[in-house]
Amino acid sequence: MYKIVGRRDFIKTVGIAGVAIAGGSVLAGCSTETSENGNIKWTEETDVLVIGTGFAGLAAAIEAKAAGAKVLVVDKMPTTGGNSAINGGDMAAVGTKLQKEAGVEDSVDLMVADMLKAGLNYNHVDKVKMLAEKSLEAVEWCTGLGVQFTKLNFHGGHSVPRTNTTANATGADIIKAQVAKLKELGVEIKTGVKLVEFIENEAGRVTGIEARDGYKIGDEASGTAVFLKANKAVVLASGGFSNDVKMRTIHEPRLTDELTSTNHQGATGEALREALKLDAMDVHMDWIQLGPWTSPDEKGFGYTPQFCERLVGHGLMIDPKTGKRFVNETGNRKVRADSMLALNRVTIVIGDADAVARQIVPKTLNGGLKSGVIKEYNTLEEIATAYEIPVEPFLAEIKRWNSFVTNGKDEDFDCLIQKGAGPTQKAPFYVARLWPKVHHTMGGLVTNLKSQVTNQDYEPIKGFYAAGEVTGGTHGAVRLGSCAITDCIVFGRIAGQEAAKEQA
Amino acid sequence: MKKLDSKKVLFLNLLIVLFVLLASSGLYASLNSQEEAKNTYQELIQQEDTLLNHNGSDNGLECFQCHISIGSNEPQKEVATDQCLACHSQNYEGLATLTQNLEPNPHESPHYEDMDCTMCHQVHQESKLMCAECHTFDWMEDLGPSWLK
Ligand SMILES: Cc1cc2nc3c(=O)[nH]c(=O)nc-3n(C[C@H](O)[C@H](O)[C@H](O)COP(=O)(O)OP(=O)(O)OC[C@H]3O[C@@H](n4cnc5c(N)ncnc54)[C@H](O)[C@@H]3O)c2cc1C
Repeated sequence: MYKIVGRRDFIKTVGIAGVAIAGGSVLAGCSTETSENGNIKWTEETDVLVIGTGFAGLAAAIEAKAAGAKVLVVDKMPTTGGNSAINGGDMAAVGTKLQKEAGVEDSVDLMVADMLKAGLNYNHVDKVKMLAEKSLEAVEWCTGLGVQFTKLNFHGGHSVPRTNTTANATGADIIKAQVAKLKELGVEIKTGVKLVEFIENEAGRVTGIEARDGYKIGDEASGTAVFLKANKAVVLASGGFSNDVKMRTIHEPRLTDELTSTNHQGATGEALREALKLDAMDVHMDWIQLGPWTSPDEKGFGYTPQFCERLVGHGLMIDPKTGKRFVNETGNRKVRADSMLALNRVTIVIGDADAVARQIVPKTLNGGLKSGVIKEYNTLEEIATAYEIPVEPFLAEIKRWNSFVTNGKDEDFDCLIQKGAGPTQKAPFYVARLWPKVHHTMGGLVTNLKSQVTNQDYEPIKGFYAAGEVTGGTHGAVRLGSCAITDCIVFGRIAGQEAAKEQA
Repeated sequence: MKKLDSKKVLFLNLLIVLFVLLASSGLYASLNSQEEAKNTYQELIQQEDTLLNHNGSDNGLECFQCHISIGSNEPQKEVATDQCLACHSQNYEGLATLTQNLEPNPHESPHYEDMDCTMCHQVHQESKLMCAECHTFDWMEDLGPSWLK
């Protein structure tokens, strides 16, 4: 490739000009300017600079520090954790303690097969294998940080229950443990620092970033410019772009602002786009996952996913217009969300008293009932009236479903009838309305098994690593539920270990 | 932008200098003495419909009691959380006891530790509940008029 002199070759670094600026002292900002001949005066220097405080970034930071590197972590938001802090705490792995206790037979090959099937074989197989092989280790690494996994759950698209759920059913359980570990290791995490662009030296090595310190989300002029130097490497762990309407509609024009998102406000794609300017390669950008278990009656993720997703295989979903089922309730997210978009109307999920008592934690049920996103009915006829369902076909469909449950085989959609499931017949019945929300971006940067970012010549970009949702390939076309945490921890740790090995 | 060349750097240089000048001169131009600031504040809280009325503690509260950098005692636009805690409960555990009758307790988020107060609480505009981004809780209905509904 022909390189224009002046773009790449004019950057020379001249060492450290000052220390980090305190939020308030505006004048100190002067010391961060670039000097007149174009050399960069670095504000602060470290060995490994991590961008993003989700599972992936914090895993990288812990490993890099443990390997002896000096580490700095930055995040543009005022809090740590990005999507990870609001996540449901579900982590897929093979052969965990919880799986053994439940007597579940599982294997790495089966998990790989499940991920490839859901991913329509678009997955980068080497990544999937690495993820599945290291999944147990990843769970145990979290446990080692003090995270407690207390329940084994089933997620649609998996062949067996292999989802380990944290004590409070939130990814924040893991984030808090990671933050505590970094505190113990003496690693600084700076929030309110936004990556603006990457800086490369003449040799094409990523040597640092320009950022805005004191950044406030939504106000691009906020904060002051700082230049952060990474003597070994930069690790990008900036998450996905589900909340970037402009970017997502370019890749998937159906996903306009008519659809809301489950993601945190900062789930936008500017950091990923900056990486592309380093000639990084991207993949699967238009495979964007909708969560089929969200409700139009509440904002964000809310209560409904943990109601709906625990009921699948125990209860059923109905299209109110026909009174009939319309999809395999235990099918993957794409199958379900696409069928909902094709119907183009709100559908419902139903569980009877037994199914709900068995499957739904009181926190979810009571919260959902109080806020009105989950409703309680004494008879099936009442449900028909409430949702304007033609009653005869509806009752016939329930009867048909119940016969499938009794026989353990769904002849219509091949729903995986769960162990312990019973017919839907005992009052009260519980119902939630369903409409998809933009949830996960499978696409992103291409990385190798060392989490190095690949460029357009298929070479690793020097000094540049990425992990987590900002990367693509692992999940292929459809990410299986609870595989994201595993992906972030496995490849985040590798990124940190490898980044620490680079020569300063 | 991916990286800087010298021309762009020069331009950025100018921008930064401009920004610094503006920020240091302009930001507090209207509040250049603490006395003046106090008067401005007293005037402002007398106007109706202003959210400046800081929940009853308006008497004698001055701008620089909140808008000040803790280290240097310089005026500062941002209000540091430690500055809020100095008057309110001293620490997060104390805050949590103030709202312990709310279920779930907004000062005991399972997602975030040690959040900045200003992520929800505002004085010069309506406050905004961060939990309401994803959740609906009973007590949200009982919030006063200074909260965005
Ligand atoms: C509501 C919800 C529930 C979920 N539940 C599950 C689950 O139970 N199991 C599962 O496996 N997956 C789940 N997922 C998916 C999973 O949580 C995410 O894929 C995962 O958290 C991504 O982690 P990450 O470290 O890559 O990014 P994130 O956790 O999103 O962190 C990225 C960070 O980078 C920061 N950042 C972005 N741009 C910049 C910039 N320009 N400068 C500085 N910082 C920047 C962001 O502010 C953010 O804090 C869920 C997702 C959501 C939204």
